[in-house]
Amino acid sequence: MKKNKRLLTYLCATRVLAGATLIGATTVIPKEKIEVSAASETNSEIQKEDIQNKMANSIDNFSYAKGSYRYFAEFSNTDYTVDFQVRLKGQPASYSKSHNLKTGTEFENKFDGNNVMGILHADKTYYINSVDKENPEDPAVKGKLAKQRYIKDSKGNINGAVYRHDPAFMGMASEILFNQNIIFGFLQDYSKWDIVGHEDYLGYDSTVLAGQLSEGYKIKQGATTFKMWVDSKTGILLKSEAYNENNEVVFSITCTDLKLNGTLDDNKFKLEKPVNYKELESKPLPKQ
Amino acid sequence: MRIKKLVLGILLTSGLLLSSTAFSTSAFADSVVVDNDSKTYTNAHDGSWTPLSSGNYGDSEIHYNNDPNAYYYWIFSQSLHTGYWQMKVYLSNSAFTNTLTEYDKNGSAQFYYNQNSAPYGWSPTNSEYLSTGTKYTFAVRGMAANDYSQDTGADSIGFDW
Repeated sequence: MKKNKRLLTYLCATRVLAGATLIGATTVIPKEKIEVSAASETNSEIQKEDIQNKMANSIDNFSYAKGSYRYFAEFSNTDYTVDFQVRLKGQPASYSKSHNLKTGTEFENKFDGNNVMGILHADKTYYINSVDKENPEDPAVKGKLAKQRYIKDSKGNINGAVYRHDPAFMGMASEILFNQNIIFGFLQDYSKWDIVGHEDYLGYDSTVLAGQLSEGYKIKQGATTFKMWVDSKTGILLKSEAYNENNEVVFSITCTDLKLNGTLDDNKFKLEKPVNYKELESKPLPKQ
Repeated sequence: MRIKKLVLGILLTSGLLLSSTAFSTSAFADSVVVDNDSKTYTNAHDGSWTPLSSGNYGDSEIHYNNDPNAYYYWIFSQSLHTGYWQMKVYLSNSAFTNTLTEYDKNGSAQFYYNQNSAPYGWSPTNSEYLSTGTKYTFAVRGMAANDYSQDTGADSIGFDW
């Protein structure tokens, strides 16, 4: 009963926000998609845990991924697109290419299983760095439920979470495929968010979550509430929007294409030195 | 005059709180914090890092504009446990906007981290295997080279056991 009351309160507040007058707004939370009946049927603790656990272990739920997304952050004037492909099965590898929509500059990032490589097209440079293979994933963390991975300080406050190691060094691709910042940051307090429905998104059945953000996001990004669309099967983040107090989108990650477990172009994982580009040599470690 | 800070804080806490919580969380027993501008341990940097008068223990460092050649280093050792520690980073400035930073240990890449989407305060990052008595050099550098206007932050790093 108490839970339903809280849910109704939240949904009413959301409806008020959605109906607010917006100045220069780009997107609002579509109030017609937030229905009490749908939400009340899908907001048990178990269902919330289920979707968060899928997100927290999404890398166990697919072998190959290829797609594109757009990243937008108003506070930093950031707006770019990313094309990516990731291989988790066998030798993990990744490739991503970002395109800055404001300046047109592009950056490529690769991991071939042994080294990472960055290619800076704007100034025709690249670098290669080794990856620490002595630091594999903590076996005690793999597959662990999200709630079991929060850690507390001496006062009993949740003060962090145990992150899983990203075996494919996905870089920018992790924003969609394995975004632990959002999984543990946005969804830490179950009383602050709800499952508000299910929608088809790019052909995937998505679970739609909406809720309030902690003070840390308000200070940093000016965001107070969020809505996200998560692939119900894998836990991959298909879309995330954070809104300011005027219900304007101030931060978003929007998947525009996603293909799972299909064919990848393995050539993109190869760390081939680009012709006529200068290598940024590794710096020696400072004296201790 | 800027107040110098305590660089390494070792906090011993009780695990008894765990039993009184609703969640199955882990209460960490030990925490090691290595600040920037450390007195106890060593910091270093390549490139042009600028001190800021805000952050954990009162200050932090920023590198304006993305530069993969500009590293900020934290050099330390610990004597408490050998095994996996949960690493976290303290980022408390909206000027830390870099969407792709690389954190290294002893010159090898450990993980990528998006400082742009990180909230104000401590954020967890990766599990790191640390041995007692071994000196480690952790470093951060900006890699979001599709946007040279993105700035990289360096403040405290921490490890929870």
